[in-house]
Amino acid sequence: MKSKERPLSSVPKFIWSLLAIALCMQLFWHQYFIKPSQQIQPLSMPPSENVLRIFSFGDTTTSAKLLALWLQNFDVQQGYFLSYKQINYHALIAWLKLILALDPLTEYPLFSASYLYSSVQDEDKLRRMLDFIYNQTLVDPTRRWRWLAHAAIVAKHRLHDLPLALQYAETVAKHASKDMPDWVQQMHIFILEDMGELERARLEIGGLLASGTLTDPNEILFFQQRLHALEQKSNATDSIQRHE
Amino acid sequence: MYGVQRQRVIKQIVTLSRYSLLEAWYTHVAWLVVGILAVGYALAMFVGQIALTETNATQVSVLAAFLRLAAVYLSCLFVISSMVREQQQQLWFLWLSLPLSRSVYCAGRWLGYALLTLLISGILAVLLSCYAPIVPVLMWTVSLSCELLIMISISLLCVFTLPQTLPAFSLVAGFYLLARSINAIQLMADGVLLQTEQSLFHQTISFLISGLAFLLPDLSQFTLTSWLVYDTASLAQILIILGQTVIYVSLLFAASLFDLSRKNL
Repeated sequence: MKSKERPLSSVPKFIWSLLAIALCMQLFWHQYFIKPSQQIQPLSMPPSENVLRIFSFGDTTTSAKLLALWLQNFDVQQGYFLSYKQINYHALIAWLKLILALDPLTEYPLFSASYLYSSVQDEDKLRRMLDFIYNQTLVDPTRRWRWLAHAAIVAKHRLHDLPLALQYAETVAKHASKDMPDWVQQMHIFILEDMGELERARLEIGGLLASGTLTDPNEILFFQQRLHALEQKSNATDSIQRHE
Repeated sequence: MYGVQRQRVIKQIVTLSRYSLLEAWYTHVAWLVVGILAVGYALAMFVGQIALTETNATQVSVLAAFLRLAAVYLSCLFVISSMVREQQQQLWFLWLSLPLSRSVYCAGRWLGYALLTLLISGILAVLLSCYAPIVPVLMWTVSLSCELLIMISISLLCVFTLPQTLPAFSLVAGFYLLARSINAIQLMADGVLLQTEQSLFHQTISFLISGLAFLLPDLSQFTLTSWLVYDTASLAQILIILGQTVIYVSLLFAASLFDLSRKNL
């Protein structure tokens, strides 16, 4: 059967040379003249949600996923890792909000906010990120509670802001659902105790025991002991105050 | 007598559709489908490497969007290039010189292309089923087939009107992008109208957009990635899509026949 193409030897030598020279020139050009920009690009504000919806061509889920991947990799530019301190958190939060608006069922932005952007060594930026998590959890608390529970831990241990941690923990407890672990629902009690709000903690534990939501006998025993310890602590504090 | 004639027409339509499928085979469409599968798989692997969370969901959504776009691109371009070749090589004169009506010719061609698109969507769904549950993938495949049927019908109409590849493909691409985004455009126009003073200009624009939305199928409701990622597809949605497809394909087919019947060959 006759081949569709003539052999390589049929190609004239000048065409071979032209091909080789052009290829070498391209390699040379790329090596010496194409330099990647060394300038770090700042994160700009996102376009409006409506514009992005139009350019998603009906597939906002995919747009949201791609934007989440792009945003996640924004801190790696020109082979350098930017610290989160260098990123404009105002724009970052706007992008995260936009991704959630495009795909309300995704948890990628809240994951990034909780585990990536909350590691920033800047208290103001950290507070803004926690505030973002808090506001977004209020939109859909049954699905997003875990991120607020994490935010409560961050507020307590990194910011040492117990009132803020309590606010988050109480919000989580307020929207308790069956799939929520008990420790999350009870987190605010321990924060109250840390804050020295013994009376409120005692009332919360008493309410918890009376509500009948606890079913595990060991857990009931633990809270009964805890309640007893709190009562003793509370009495001791009262007697000291009376002596004074 | 009537039965014999009907049998002859069906035979002609089937023969023509067989030729369309043979043409797809000889123009290596099968290899292109294999190429799409390979690129799709590589894309899913790449996305799987860079996603920190929701890895499977991200892989499925990126893969589904890629496969949908690739299927639409391949189907439309094949229909347009096939019909342009037929017109430029004047093969359709040969077909129509036979005892074959123009409507039978159009139906035969359409059926061939439709079978090809069903085959393509079925093959692409096999790769998707490796990443997503089977029931949502089935619903997604039915919806993709409907979307492709609409797209090959509009391609056929455009190629009868503009018998050159570039203008016909541009028109089809414009139609696709507009049909996919008309819902968002309409919402945006209505939103602007609510926020601002209802000037005559705004009202006219809103009216035009609403008119356009009436004429276009809302493709943003077709082949949703969220079905695969969050398992949100329902039978009611599929029935609506099937209904829209039957109506719109009938409209486009009638328009194609209208255009072909008016041609002075």
